[in-house]
Amino acid sequence: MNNLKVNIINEVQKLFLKKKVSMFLIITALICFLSAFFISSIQEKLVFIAIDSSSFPLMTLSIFTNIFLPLFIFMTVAELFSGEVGDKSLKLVLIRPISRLKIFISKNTAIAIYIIINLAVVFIVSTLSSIFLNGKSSINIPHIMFAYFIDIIPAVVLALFASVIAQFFKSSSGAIITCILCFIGIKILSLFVSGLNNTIFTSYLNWYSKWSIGQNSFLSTINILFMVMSYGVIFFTVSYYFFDKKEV
Amino acid sequence: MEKVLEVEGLTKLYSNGRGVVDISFEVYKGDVFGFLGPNGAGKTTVMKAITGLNTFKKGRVEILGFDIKTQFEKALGKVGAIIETADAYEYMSAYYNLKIASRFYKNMEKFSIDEILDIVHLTEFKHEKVSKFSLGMKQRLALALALISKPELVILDEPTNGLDIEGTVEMRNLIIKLASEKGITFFISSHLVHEIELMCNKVAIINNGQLINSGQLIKSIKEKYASLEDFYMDEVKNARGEI
Repeated sequence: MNNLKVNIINEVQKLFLKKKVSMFLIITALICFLSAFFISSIQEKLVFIAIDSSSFPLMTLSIFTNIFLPLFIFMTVAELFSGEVGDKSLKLVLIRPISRLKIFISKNTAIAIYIIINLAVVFIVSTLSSIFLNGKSSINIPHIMFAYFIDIIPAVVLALFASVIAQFFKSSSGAIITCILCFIGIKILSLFVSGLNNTIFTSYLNWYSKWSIGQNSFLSTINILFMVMSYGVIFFTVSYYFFDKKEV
Repeated sequence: MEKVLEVEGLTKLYSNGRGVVDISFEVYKGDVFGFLGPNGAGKTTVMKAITGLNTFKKGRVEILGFDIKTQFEKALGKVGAIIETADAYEYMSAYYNLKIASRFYKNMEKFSIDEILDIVHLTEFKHEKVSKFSLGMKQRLALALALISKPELVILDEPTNGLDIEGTVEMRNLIIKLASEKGITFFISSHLVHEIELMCNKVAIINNGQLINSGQLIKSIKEKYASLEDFYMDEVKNARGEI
């Protein structure tokens, strides 16, 4: 147990010591602030669309979880799995007194922590810039926080999906490209195959937007939660199987 | 004498049919055990199997009495290793590399990291990024990473590979010093017979995936042969049936 905790700390530290990972966070914060600034400066001209303080952080969440977050997840997963096989640094942890299962769990936990930090940055910057630029105090922070919180689960499942793909690559670039192509492929398929949209995990990346439509009975919410988590369990198992068999 | 490493009937075959077959030997406490063989003989395969980097279906590996397959964490608890290449996280400083590795071991204090950096003569470069290190410095850092566990057994795969003359001498002297002063047991692979002769007290010879000599005292070999090289050539010819 202790070694698991140790390796989670190590994996998080390794992630944030990489310049590009910290840069992504800064870019995310900048994009959020600049879009809030842009929208507030043209708001008077937007006759048909009313964007208030509350809807801006939710709108940002929708764009972020569907476009930027998947990209950041793919890059991080590829870096921690395929990247380390490519630069041979995976050996450094495999020869330590820690089992492969613990290494695998700690890598995925570090990615989950990275996702939470990303969402927290978007939440803080979009909420603050919205309050600052629009000057409205009627913002419902607990409501927005809840929206950001529930979107963590599908993002973690997407990370597990990416980690399955990353097991087959020895370079991070190959893994990233394949993850992106698979993600786009699933999105396109779900447009053409009827019913796929309701059963594929990528449809729930911004789970909150579906939640708020109004068809959210308790049972259907639980149903979606279990379905998304089942995807997570399957991806975790398949990915761990290949990670455990990996010869470096 | 206490057995530190025991390999019994280790067989590992790759899909291309190459690999190692029925490897058995023992390494005892205080030994500097040389694992000699030409390139492609299977030295790294054996070392990877010992450290759990490779899986194997046949055979048994025990380190300090713990089976590598069933008690992996305990088996590697007091082991340091450099396998194939001297790797470290290039985007980190030498100090951070050691700090990250040290967390796996209890009672590792800051002074231990400094002490190890001092042993491998990297103290003045401890805050420099590894990407700026020369090959010799990387090799010494890899040795420091192997020593961070305060190991009873250090496994080194071709530790002088790619080093210039000065770097080779420095690495060799470090190993001899650590073995004599700290009582660390070493298991060292090399294709250079001269290196093994200068560093080790025992030698095992591997050729074409098979062990042709499972650990003889170099001192006793030298009583019969003019050099270890002569002994090696004799053993290889014998294995091929040329003698």
